[in-house]
Amino acid sequence: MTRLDSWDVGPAPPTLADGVMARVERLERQRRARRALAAFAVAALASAATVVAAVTHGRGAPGGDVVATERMEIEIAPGVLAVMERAAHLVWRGREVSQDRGEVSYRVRAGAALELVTPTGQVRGGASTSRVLVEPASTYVLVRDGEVSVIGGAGRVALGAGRYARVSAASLTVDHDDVDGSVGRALGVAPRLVPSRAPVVEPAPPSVASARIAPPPHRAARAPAASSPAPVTPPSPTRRAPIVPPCFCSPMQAVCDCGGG
Amino acid sequence: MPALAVAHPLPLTADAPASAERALLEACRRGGPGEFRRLVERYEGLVWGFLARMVRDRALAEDLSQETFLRAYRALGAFDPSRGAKLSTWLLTIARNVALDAARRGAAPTTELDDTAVDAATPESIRAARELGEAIARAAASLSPAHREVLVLAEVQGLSMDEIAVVVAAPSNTVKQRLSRARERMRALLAEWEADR
Repeated sequence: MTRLDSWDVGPAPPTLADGVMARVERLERQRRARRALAAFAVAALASAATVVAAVTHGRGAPGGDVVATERMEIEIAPGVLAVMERAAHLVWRGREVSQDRGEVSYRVRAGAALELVTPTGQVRGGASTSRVLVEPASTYVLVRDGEVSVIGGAGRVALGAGRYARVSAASLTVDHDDVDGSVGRALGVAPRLVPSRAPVVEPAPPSVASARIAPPPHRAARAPAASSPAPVTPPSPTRRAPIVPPCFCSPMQAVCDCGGG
Repeated sequence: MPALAVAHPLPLTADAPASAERALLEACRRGGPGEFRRLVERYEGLVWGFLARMVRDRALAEDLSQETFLRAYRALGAFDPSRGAKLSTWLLTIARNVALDAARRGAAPTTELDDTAVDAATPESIRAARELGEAIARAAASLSPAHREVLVLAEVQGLSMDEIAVVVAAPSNTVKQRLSRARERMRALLAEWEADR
């Protein structure tokens, strides 16, 4: 009887497995090289896109959209540094910055400018340091250094160092009108511990009342709520707030000596 | 007239438990090249045995075996044992495709398999066995590739008709026909060889 198992080809060569593994290693090296090349190509494309965007817009930083998961610093434009607190949301493109929630401090170097839009107003400034807190119905602004303009539906005001304001859909409350201290508390500032030279509130320019930052109707209706201080009625362009003597305060004192006030 | 029979198929592999195959496959997918060596060592006999009988050239068979495992390594993620496919059947399918590609490229065998060479210095029984093996190899080599592959898969590797149908990508009836003709041809050739001795 002829048996087919006589058709012997012997065992597999002892070098077979080593040969396979050598080829597998070669394949893996090629794969790694291809992956590195692909990563390099993606990075190069991203860099090219950044350059193209910068050139196209001519504004330095191309833009971004960030929700801070922790305190973080971002240079959102050349000379404009944003220090975002947790949960703050910023969207920027060139110099145009939009903050729709949370707290962000802006440091603007000399020669640079900030053009910030919030749901209820705008904040503009050159060389300055300011803190902006955005809540659903209000934007709070505290200027630490330099000068910043706060613009809302009810008017506009230039704030110097140490001044603060709240802008909502229908009102613009500056520090000297913060009679119940609610604005100062929101910003963590003692209401009376501010320079008392009153900033001038002027009517808002027509462009500010544009659709971009116009408040929705329900917000406007809710704005004069009992818990809020009386909204500032925009004074006429010629009207100025009264000048009061400066306060002299000490952290150890319960009250400030505000001259005749 | 000699009858064709197989004492047993090549050891292991073809009958490895599905769970063991699956575990090895998973280890290869997770562990990378290091684990893949285990798979190679486990199935190299199966793949080598098939390819060596198909091409009858040791160097070429080794090269094609390596190519088979390399293709398997590349396609590890695509093999799905949950569909009932066996790892051994899958590897033999790849090996067959590798052999067909080699044939298309014109990679013809250049040397005879050493193991089937007749050594006059060996004892008579061993010499006779080697002569028989060489006769079978020559007879199988004269078959068409389609007949030779089903013969090897059925008679040497011990695959079922359904498994062979998967490997050669042909209906079971076609496989049965090819196997029947391959056996007839082998019987005739080996009968001639015995008559000439």
